Amino acid sequence: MKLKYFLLLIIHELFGTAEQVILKKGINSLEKPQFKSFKDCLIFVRNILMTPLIWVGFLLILAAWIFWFTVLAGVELSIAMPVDSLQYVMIMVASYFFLHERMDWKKVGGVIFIIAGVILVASS
Amino acid sequence: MKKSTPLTFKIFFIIAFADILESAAEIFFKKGALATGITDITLHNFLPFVVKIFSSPMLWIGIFIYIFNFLLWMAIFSRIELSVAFPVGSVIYIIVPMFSMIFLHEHVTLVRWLGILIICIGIYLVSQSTHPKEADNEA
Repeated sequence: MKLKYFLLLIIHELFGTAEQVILKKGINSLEKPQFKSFKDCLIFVRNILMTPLIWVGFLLILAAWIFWFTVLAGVELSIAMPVDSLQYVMIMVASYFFLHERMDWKKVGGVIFIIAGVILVASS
Repeated sequence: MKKSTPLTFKIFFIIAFADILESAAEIFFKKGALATGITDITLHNFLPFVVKIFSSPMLWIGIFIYIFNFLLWMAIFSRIELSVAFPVGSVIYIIVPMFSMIFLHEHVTLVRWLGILIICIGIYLVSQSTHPKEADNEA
C-alpha cells in the first residue's frame, strides 16, 4: 500500500472518527430510546433526524466517504478494508478523550492485535 | 433495563445477512471507483474523480444497500447486546476479501489472510471489554 493512499485512508478515518463522536454526542443528547419493537426504531430514526448535531455528523459521513472512494481508486479492496479497521483504534482513543469512556486492558490488547494485523495486510 | 436475548440462530442469520449486504455495498463502491477509469489519485484529478464516481450507478447501488443495512442493524441492536453483535459483525473483514477474490479478481495472499485473522481477534477482544450493565445503560 502506497504512502499516499495510506494518508488518504487516515484522512478518511479522521473524518469517520469525528463523525462517530459527533453522532454519539447527538444521540446521547436524546431521550434514551426504547428498542422494544421495530416501530420504536422508526421513532428513534425520526428523533435523530430532528437533531442538528446529527446533520453535522451526516456531512462528516459524506466527507469520510469521498476520501474512502479515493482510497478505493488506487488500492485493492482486500487490502483497503482490513487496514480500515484502524478506525476502531482511532474511535477508541477519541472516545476516551472526548466522551470520557473507560479504557481497560482488553481494549488495549485488542488494539495491539488490530495494529499488528493491519501492518501484515498493508505490507502484503 | 433492556433484557438482552441470547444469540439465537435466527438472529445469527440476520447478522450474517447484514454482513453480506455490507460486503456487497463495498464491492459496489469499488466497482464505482473502477468505473471512473481513474486508477491513481492526484491533486489535479481529485475533484473530477469525485464528480465521476458520484455519477456512477454502481456507487448509488452501494449507497442504497448501505442505508438499508443501517436500518437492519438498528433492528439487530434492538435484539442483542453490542458485545455480541460486534464480533459477529466483524466477519465482514473476512467476507470482503472473499468477495474481492470472486467479484474483483483480486489475489489475496496467505500473509494477508493471516493479518485479517489477527485483526478479527483484536476486534473480538475490544468488543468483550464492554461491561454488560454499561452496555444496557447506554443502549
